[in-house]
Amino acid sequence: MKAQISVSGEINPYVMTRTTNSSQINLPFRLLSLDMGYSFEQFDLKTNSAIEHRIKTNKSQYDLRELYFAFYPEWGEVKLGKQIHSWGAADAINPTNNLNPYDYYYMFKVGAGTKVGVLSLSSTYYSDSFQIEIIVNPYFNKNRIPYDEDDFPLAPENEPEVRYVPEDEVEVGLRLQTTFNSSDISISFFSGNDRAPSLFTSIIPEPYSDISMNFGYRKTTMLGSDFVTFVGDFTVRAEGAIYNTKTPSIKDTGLGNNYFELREDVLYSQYVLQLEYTTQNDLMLSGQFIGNSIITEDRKWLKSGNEILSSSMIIPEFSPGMGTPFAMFSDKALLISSSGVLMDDQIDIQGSVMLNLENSGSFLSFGVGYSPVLNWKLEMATTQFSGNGKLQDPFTLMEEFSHVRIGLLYNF
Amino acid sequence: MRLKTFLTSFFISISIGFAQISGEDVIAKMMENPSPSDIKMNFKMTLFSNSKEKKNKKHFRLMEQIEKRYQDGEFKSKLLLRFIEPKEVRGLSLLNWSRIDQKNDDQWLYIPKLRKVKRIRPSEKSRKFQGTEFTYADFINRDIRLDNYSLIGEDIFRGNPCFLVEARSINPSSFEVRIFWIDKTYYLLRKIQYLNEDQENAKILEIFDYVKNNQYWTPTKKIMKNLLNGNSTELQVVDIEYDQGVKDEFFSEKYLKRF
Repeated sequence: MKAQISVSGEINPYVMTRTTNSSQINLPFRLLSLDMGYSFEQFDLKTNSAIEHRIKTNKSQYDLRELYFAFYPEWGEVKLGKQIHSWGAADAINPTNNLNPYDYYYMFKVGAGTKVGVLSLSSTYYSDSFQIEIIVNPYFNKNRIPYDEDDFPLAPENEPEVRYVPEDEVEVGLRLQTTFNSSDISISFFSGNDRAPSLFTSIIPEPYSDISMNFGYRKTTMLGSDFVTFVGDFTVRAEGAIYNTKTPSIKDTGLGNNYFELREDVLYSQYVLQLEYTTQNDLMLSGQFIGNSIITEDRKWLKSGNEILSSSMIIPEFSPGMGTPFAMFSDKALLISSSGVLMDDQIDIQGSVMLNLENSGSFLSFGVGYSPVLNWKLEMATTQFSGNGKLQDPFTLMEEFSHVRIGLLYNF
Repeated sequence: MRLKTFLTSFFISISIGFAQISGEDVIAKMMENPSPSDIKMNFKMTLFSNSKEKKNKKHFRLMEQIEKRYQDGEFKSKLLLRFIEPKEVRGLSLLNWSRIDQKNDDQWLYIPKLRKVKRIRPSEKSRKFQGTEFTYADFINRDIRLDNYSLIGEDIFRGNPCFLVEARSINPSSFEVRIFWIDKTYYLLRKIQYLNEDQENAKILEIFDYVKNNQYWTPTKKIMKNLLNGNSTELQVVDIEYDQGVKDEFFSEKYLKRF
């Protein structure tokens, strides 16, 4: 095989305008994305980088999202470097895909666009009847959360002070996939640290004085499964995971003897069931039922390492530190999506509706792309959130984020 | 008188010869043309629209096709199709495994933006391929045993005398009846007329410019015309290589992601 160099990418400037008051939403976006690769015989060197730009400040930032070396022996593949992994049979909502943290600035993108690359070693063995993949992340990586972003309503105001960094940073993932009667089924395992911080300790120095809170990253192990099969004209994809999150023992809190420690041991699940159908005109229709629930929980305050027999201390609501970001919207939701092309592929349309099945709340997204000339596209999209009026409801909070987006896309 | 006798005998013998050849024979002769064990091909598909709003507007796709054909075993062929242009879908790839019984094809789609290989429901063979007038069946060689053939006449196509062979699907399909124009000299397929369920002429495939590479005849240009809406798609071979010894492992998820 001759050496090959590949270069491709896109330039995608766009503006987002709030529908409530026509003000501009000032969040960073990937103005330029660039994929470069060098292939020779059984070896590849791949990079994926971006220029992230913010219109209001007119500042840009370079982001090397991936840089990895790949080797393809006869039995499979080995990859080493900063990379983005992708597990799971379902579309967009993947409870088993926890190898990489999420970039919440791009949580409404698809696929690799939502993820932060991490340094890892991965190896996949392919046989005729199965494939097995093992991934090791030597360092801890957290979600990129838009703290203190006025234009992102769900973002916390301040980045919490993380006192307890993970002592054991190494994360390991294992996935086994096999085929049975033209259906693929996988089981997966992941052991790592939460991607978002949670409350570990608290000090109440004196009555009526400020409470000091310290955060850390809990340990979470995940056991998951996903499959895809065909029933008549329908494609069925399903994915689910059970997570066990535990607060690690803290050897030395550094807080003396007058502190409260929140000890958690929680078993929770996330799942998605997807039904897909493609019409004769190649219009793709998909419905996803998304759910998450706490199975068991043991959460308590300890005082200076000892269990408190009775306590009026409030235990904060459990917040998962791993799994799909859409779990924050609802415990049960329905997501219906559709996409298709018109006019000989010159126009592409996509639409999605998410309905909160537990309380009222929804979001609607609709986009159109028009390609008058090869490799150029005008894009227009709108996303509208509708809540139930309750202040802490995510859909209500996101009403301020309802927007229209207009952009230009050039592929090279 | 002797000339008259001679001419009568001549035409009778031609008729007897004609009566003796069957549709199955013509198809068998066509299949005897040497066929490569694998093909690597880059081709361009140009879509011509005939709607009022965009009369004769065209745009194109550039694709790579790698196919391996098997003489024995479980599989009939394995095919990898990859988009090169438009750049927006560059790298989008389809992998298809055709089995001998044609019942349980396996298909996978690789979408670069998702970094994922998705097993997909094998597209109905009669479905249009990526918005063109070609169908998936046109890329995946149909098993000749799936049709019954009968010789229905003769015609001339672009100066080539041809047998007209009618193919009727044993099992119901969108195109129950096809009529093949197969030239009498080299037994090459020159034209196909597709009739739909209502026995209307629905599509016509015309094959131009056969070129002989080593022992293999290569159609370098095909045009599929949709007679119902006036649209057409031209498929033009840009370059082609045969018998490159493509390994079986190439048609796998591993290589689907790699390229």
